Amino acid sequence: MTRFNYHQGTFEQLLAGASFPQFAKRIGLPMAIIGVALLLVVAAWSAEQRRLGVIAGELSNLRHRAQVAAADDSRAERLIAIVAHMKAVEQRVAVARRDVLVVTNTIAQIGNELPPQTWLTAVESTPAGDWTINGRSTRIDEIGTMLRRVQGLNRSATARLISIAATGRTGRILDFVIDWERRP
Amino acid sequence: MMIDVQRASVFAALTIVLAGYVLLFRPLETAVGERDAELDAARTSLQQNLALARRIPALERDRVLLAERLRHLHTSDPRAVTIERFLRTVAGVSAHDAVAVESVAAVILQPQPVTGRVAQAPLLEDVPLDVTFRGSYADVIRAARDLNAADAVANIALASLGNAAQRPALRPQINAAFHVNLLREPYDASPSSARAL
Repeated sequence: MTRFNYHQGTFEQLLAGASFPQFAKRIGLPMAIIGVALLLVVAAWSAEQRRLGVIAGELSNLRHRAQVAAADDSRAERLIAIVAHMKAVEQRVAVARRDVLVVTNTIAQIGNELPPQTWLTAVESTPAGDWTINGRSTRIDEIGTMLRRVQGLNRSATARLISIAATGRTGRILDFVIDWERRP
Repeated sequence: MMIDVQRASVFAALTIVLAGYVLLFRPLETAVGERDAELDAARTSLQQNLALARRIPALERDRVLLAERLRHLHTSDPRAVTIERFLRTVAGVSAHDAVAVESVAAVILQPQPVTGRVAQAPLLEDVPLDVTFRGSYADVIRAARDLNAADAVANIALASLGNAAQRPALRPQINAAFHVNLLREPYDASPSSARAL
């Protein structure tokens, strides 16, 4: 009589004496739990892969559209540069024309503001834009009036009397020089 | 020692879920996050591109309008053509305003000293000339105004006014000298050179 099976097979050891149906019933629930865990992992992996696929597709589509839009983009940038340059040129021309009007108006005003018995003999400008007004008058007070009127042409400029000198044989004619700093 | 199969299976299941989370879910979630960020950046960039592209029709209209206005100013003409146009204008003004052209002289500009820094190309190039008119005070002023209103764009500054030598059978006249800077666009590869886009 054999009291103990010393040579139990691995499977028999695992069954611990139980019959296979008994064993199957015993491990059914644990296997189900493990199965559910595996299913969960696989489902999560699958969902993530799907999300990744969708995003990759969308990204590829966006990149393609961006590539197409890049050509328009560079054209727009070029147009912006051209328009800015043309506006700057137009502005510069407008400023130049306005400056000329200011100059001619000033010359006309100086002529119009001359007091009686007073004449201009020369008007000269320096490279810095200042003017030297040379004139002649028979009355010294009229030269003062002239200085005041030149100053009145532009409040931010400075009119300065440089000299008054008698000239002519009788000495009754006065040459004057007025310096007009037109810079503010 | 007996193994509690149910506990062991729960432990195994938890291990599987944990390993799945650490080894599969987390890396994928990180990748999704990175792709999401790339997607946002690409979307923003595309929106900027499209916003810029939407301005093209308006910019095109502006360009055509400005080109038409600047065409009348002839700023992009070659230097010789600019000078020729100005001389024609001077001749016209002289006849119209009863002033005589005493002189037209080119001004030699001193070259600018070269510095280490790269100088920015000027917007408009000056073509300097000294022009002297002879006529009455009112006529020379009118001549300068007419020069300014003509289609040769110039910056005109007074150089001097002075009595002209008396000529027989003529009323006293003055010489009016003006510094005239004709303005034209220098030819280079600047955007305006490609105005006719």
